Amino acid sequence: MHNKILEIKNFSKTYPGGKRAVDGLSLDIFAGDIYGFIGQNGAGKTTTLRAVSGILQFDEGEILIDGHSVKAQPVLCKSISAYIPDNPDIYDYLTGTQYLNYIADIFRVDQKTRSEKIVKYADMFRIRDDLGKLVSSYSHGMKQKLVIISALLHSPKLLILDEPFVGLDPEAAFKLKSVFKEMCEQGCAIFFSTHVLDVAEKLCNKIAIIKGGKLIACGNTDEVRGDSSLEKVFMEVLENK
Amino acid sequence: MTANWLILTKVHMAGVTGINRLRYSQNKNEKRKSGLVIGVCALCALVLLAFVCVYAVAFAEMGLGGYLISLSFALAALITLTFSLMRGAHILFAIKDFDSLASLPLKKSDILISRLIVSYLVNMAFCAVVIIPCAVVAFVYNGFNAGIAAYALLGLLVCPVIPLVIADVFGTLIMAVTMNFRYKAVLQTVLYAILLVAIMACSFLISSIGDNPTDEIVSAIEGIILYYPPAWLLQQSISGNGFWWALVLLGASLAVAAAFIGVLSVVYFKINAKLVSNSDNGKFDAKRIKAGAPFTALYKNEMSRLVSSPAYLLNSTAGLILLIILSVGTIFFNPVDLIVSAGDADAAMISEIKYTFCAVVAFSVGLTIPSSAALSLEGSRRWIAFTLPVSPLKILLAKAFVGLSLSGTVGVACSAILTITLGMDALQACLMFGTVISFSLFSSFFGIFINSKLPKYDWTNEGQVVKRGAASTICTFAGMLPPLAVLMFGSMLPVSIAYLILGMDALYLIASVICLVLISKTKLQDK
Repeated sequence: MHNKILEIKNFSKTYPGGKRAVDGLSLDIFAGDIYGFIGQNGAGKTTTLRAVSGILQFDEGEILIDGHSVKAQPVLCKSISAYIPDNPDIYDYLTGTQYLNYIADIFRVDQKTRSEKIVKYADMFRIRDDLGKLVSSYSHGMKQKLVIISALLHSPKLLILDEPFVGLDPEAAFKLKSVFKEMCEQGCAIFFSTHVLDVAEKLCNKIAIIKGGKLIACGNTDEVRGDSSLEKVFMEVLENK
Repeated sequence: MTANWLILTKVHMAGVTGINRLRYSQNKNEKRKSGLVIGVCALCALVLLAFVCVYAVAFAEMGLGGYLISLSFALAALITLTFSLMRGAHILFAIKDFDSLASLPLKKSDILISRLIVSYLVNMAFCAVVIIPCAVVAFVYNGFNAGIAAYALLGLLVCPVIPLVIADVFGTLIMAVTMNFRYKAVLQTVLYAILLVAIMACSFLISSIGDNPTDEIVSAIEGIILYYPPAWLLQQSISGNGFWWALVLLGASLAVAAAFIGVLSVVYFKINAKLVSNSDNGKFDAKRIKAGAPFTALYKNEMSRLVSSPAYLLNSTAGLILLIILSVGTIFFNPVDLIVSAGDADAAMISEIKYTFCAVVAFSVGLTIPSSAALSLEGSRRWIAFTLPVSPLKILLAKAFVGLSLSGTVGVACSAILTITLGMDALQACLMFGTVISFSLFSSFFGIFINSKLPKYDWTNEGQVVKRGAASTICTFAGMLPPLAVLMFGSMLPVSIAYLILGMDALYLIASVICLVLISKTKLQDK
């Protein structure tokens, strides 16, 4: 029996100024799911991800991570999840090692675990030699890799990512996908937004399509795709008004 | 076709003033916040205006009305220089939009002119608050003169030019010298601090040189005007020696500005590119992977943030730097001993003077407000703080503790020095240390509380939040005005200054506790 890792119930978000970015969105993510979240620019993907990760305030609906409310128990929810934004803006006055130590301290990762994981993932993403340098000297892709490593240190149950493959070189993208699969085999869940439908189709076992703040389609990738490709389904969804 | 520098200036001004946000934002909270900022700035301007008027009238009553305009010109220039140095050269260098500007078909001089014009207009507004009331008081006491009015207007227009150029020349040199160092921020801060101390020392020396040793105030004024050539030029025209002096002043100001822009244009992109694209040769060392406590990690990160930015560090600790200079200065020049040896004061007056130093300490510590910009400086990185599994209270307290640890330790150390050098008794010493504690707590907790209510995350230049942010402006005045009022008006009241200071300390301590309670209820989320 699958555990429900993420439960979004009737989530809506209206920004000050009146823009209703998300309207009545509901979906469930279970342990072992790699859940792709796709939609046009401005459809409400980032809003949803930021609300799930506790960054964005919301009044309508409920979001539960492993049964805990993001509103009522924010610290607990954050301790079992990790968020990776689309723009990896991090503290450029720290070295890579200092940043990883900082995140690991907050998440109370012990010395042995953090050392092993930092070395493992830094070697995997080939930035071990750069960890001693200031983040200000990093390229966009290097910062992205550093943020990914920092998110994996505390073994989150839910990984929330906004456009994770942007800025990653092909090898790093491949390695990240293998990390996703490894995490899911261990009972975690991955929830990420992407514009690259090909990646979503091949990697995700479940897909949700959002348009104008509303959920248009969701479910197993095979069911959503049907007999055609995800790209065709997505274009049909966009054309239907 | 509109000149490029004008197009850039308009865009830059829209960002600095927030006018665009006020016009086009559909967020009522944002509009309210902009209105509050404008209100606070207007209030500050009124307070400064009142302060200037009081002193202008005092000087005019002493028969010094003829010097008022050029004196206000010189003082406004000095303050412009000091604040521009404290701001650093960050409106010119390492700006966030450098890449997009560099990729456009723009002349380097266009970029420089637009940045400098905005800085000039902001400083001119300040100079206007100083020069205009002095000119009005001078006309009231000496009669209106159209020629002098014209010179005063000219003085107002050129007043910020030379100080801005001087500040930016030093800023550019400091940037150029430090751009290859790993810890350039700390080095830049030290160099700026040395520069500020040197300027203060020169100002003090100049004001003590004059042709009239028997009258100290006249002597000070003559010294200031004599040794600041632009003020001397202006005074020549005002005194009726011809309009050529004012023309020379105008010509010299424009020539200095043009020369600065011309020279800086040559090296501007080189310095900026070096600052923005940091190369670093640091090596990975597995031994540096060490576990620590969450609160310590938050505090250390915050402290790293403070020392990584000269603008942030200098503006936040200017009060402490002044306090260190003052307290160390009393070792060599003890004001109490000077007064006692002059035979002018009795025991009660000497006691009051000692209590006055408590207000000076309060003023300095009250100006130490790194927490008022700490949350805003998270900027686009705030997602990190907002997703950490720690309570908002811990995050905000870590930010507040940086300021508290600095102002607390330096404040206590300087108070200890002052207690010894001024020969304070137990009561005076207790009040001194109590003042340090209450003001350190207030500036830290009030600062982070106000910043959590008035955050500004979309800055492109740290000066926008550190110097011109709503939170830092409010905190500066909250920490500065009451001690200043005690210093200025305390001796006029029938009660001892000690009671005023005691009352002030109690009030600030209560306010600190209230802020702490309010901070505990704060959420860290975007709306």
